[in-house]
Amino acid sequence: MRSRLSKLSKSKQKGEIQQRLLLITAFIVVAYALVLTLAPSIRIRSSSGPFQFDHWLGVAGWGVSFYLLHRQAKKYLPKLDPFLLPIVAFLSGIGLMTIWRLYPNLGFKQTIWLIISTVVVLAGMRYPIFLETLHKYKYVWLISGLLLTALTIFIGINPNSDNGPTLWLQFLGIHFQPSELLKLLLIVFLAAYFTDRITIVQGRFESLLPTLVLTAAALLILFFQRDLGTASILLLIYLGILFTTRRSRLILIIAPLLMIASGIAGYFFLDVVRLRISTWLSPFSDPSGASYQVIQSMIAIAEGGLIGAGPGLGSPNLIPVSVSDFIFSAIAEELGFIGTTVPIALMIFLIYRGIKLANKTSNAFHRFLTLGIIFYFGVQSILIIGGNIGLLPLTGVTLPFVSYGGSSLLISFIAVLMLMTISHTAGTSENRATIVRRRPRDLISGGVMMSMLMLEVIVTSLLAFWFSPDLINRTENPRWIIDDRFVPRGDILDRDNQVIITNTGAPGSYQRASNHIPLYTVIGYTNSVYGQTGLEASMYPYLRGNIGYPYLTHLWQDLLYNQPPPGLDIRLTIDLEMQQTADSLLGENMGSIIVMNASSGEILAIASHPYFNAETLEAEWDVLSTDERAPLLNRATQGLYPAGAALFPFLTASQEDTLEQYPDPESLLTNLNLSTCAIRPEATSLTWEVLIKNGCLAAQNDFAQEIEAESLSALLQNLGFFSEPQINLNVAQVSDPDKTGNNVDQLREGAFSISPLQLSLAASALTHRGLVPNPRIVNAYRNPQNEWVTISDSQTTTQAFSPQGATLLTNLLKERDLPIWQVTAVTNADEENPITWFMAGTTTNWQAQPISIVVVLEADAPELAEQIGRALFQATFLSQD
Amino acid sequence: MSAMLVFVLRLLVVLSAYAFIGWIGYVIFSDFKRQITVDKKQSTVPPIKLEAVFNQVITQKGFEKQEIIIGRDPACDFPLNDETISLRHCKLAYYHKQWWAEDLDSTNGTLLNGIPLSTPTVITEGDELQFGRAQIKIAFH
Repeated sequence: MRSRLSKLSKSKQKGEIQQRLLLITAFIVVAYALVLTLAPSIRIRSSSGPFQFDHWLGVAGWGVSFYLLHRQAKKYLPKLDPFLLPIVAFLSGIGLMTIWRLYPNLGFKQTIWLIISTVVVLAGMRYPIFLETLHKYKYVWLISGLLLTALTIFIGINPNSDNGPTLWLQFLGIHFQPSELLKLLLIVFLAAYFTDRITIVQGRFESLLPTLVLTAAALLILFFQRDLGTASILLLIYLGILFTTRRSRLILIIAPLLMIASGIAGYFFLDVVRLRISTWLSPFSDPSGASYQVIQSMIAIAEGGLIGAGPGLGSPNLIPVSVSDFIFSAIAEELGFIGTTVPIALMIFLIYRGIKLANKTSNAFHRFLTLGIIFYFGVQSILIIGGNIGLLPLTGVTLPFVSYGGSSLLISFIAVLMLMTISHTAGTSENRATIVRRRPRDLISGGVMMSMLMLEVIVTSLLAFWFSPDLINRTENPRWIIDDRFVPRGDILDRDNQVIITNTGAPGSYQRASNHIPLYTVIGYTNSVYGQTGLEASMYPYLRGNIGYPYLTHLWQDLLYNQPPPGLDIRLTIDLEMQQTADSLLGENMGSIIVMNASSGEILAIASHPYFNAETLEAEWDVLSTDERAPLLNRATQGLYPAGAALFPFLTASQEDTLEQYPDPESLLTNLNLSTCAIRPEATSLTWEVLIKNGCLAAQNDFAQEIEAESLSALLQNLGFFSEPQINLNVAQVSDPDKTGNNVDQLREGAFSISPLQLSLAASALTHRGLVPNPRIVNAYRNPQNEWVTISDSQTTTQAFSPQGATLLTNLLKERDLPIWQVTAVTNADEENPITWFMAGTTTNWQAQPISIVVVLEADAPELAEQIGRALFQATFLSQD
Repeated sequence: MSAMLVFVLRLLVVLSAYAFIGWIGYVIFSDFKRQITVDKKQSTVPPIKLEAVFNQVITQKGFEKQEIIIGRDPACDFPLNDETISLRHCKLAYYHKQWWAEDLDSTNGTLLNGIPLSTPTVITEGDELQFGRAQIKIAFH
């Protein structure tokens, strides 16, 4: 009587454990759903919506299902393992909510499947005898499963895509995947077979023959249908069951051999397998192609970090097939490493409880069936999680209970129904007299699966923490584009705080809008496909608020919103009025203009034509990117042109003594081929001024002979022609100096090229005491306290030639009507691509800030270049007066 | 404000998920502990002495292990060479703090104090087992 009482209370206690665990699970699911409801409004930082309510349908379906399952289980299977149902409830609850979050229409379908599965399990609980029926007609069940799967070869369809594998059967509008059923039926068959045969012929190979033939048949069908994931699972389950049921040691040798052999065979005969294995071995070799999926999955895990972005706040939609194959990564991104440890831990518990149950039950069929089901869950979880984290080659199988997929959910539920029934029977069984055998092989196989899962936890943690920064910063991670739509980027202002570029639109659809379209070659574009260029790219940390805020602000914004703080405004050195003048003067001509403060290196205007409009980039990309005139290029910094006779003033400035020694150029120079001049001078009045100002190439080359080779290359070096200017813009790769030939070879066209920016820095040296300044385009940023902070540059200026040389030259080249010096040169005059250089600067009489100007035209047009340059000076002087 | 609420909810989700795992983990841990104590108890097997009377020859052998197999096979713990005894005839095992005798489907069966052994049965001091022509007396120290 007493023992009866204690037993009663024990089953009651079990019911209570189950109930409490289910209540915790329900709380978690409801809290998750609540977060999901609020998430859309949090992303746009509004307190009044929009809210999302669809998924509560899923919560309701889930809640009712598990309430009924719990009640019925207490009634019909009071002695069942109290952990089974809560584990299943947790896994399917998190899975269902994630599916709703990713694709609400699939979430609805999955809810329907959950209800169907629940109904099947509820029915099964009333008739625990169904296990015996399965046992009795094992061949019938397996063969009908095989036939159903074979049927997909003929009338199979693929509900998702037209040319995918046809693994589904359609029946009354419902799609069902028979290969899922086949897995369970094979387990039932093997369990039944070994129960019936085990005592008769122990350890004989012939006794395995029927199982070998039927398993091989199943594998063949699956191979034929290219369902390799299911095939590998079937193979592993078969080997696992053989391992635990047979005493022979042969299996220990056969199993690994068979697995390696099938892997090698697959590698050589099936493209899919080869692709999967090669991407597994070297995932980063083809990040946009073959290994795109795995890399996106790893990036999502890395983005999740410790506690994840929060339900609805991350971007797991960016992972391909996030809803089924990669649901683990989707959970990782939004619930973090902590969130992923939960399903893995639950799977470990499930395996543990299964092994324990197999040890406890006295019925051989039950024991084998339990082991088979544990293999089914364990192997499948290990394979797909391993594939998601890059530990194993990717196999397209589902994560049991979690992934989207009706057939998989239904079969997993039926498998759990079997476990519950078996555990109830084992709990009721009074036959305790049988001596319990130690079964080391059960423990070994369970232990192997559990350690694999723990290894996967470790690898996940490596991705989430150790490799996280590298993965997040990969170019394949497009999440910053999404942040750009939700968080305002900083504005870009001119030197007088006039807005050049700002954001338009509402949170969630922010876009850039420019007040001066031609500046886009400098500002650059931002596009999800084509990336980022110009200042948008180089000033990314300021414009996205990565720099300038205290660490705690970042942390807080990340925790609360999974977004960076609002971007900081930056101020350029550009003068918007002067920029507009420069752009209108350049007009339809191909070329570029730079106006620079010669003493500070600040760029006042920088124009490059033709230009593009970043707001219509996507539509015009094909035209823009293939246009021979290269409108996407910023010619001022990225264009490289032969310098030609534009170097003459620098050569002479470095040799001031020679110039003073020979006041008449004809006394020094022998070759004065005047046809090489940009503007042909009168042959009668040849002075240094005329030769330099008009860009006479022959005279320049003749003069260069007079300079020592070493001092010439030192001059070119000091002028910065062989080093890239340090500026927040993409600059062209400069050429290395050619030191092998003589001086003329050093200067010959094609020996080196320079960008307009480089020449404008050299021109600044001529204007300002022989000092080459450092170029500056970004002046300051506005910190969160609304104060402007100067972005300092610590570089020093270079002395290219003596201040006296500079003064000598500027006085020599001085114009009559304006306080400037100027030089015009044309290179490649007789060839296909002539280039006109115009270079000018203020002279020492000019009292305000020294200015230098460079105009480049991709045409033989010295007069036009001069006209543009002089007009710019006039505008400059007007604005400075 | 709602951002804070969501953050707190997220923390609660994490905490309760870990409570869930912790609970199951605790149960498994206590399972293990129980298992280990059971193992410990089982590992202290009281010594047993078997005295076989066979062809008027008395053979004595003491054991301190949990499982003793008696049979014709020389690999058995207590081999008895006679054709009336099966290769692996009978098993003595210490389990649940008691010694049990179990017949291993032998051809001629096992008698315990003259009664055929059909299920595993508890044996005590002085019990007599009979296998074919051999007799074994059980003694504990």
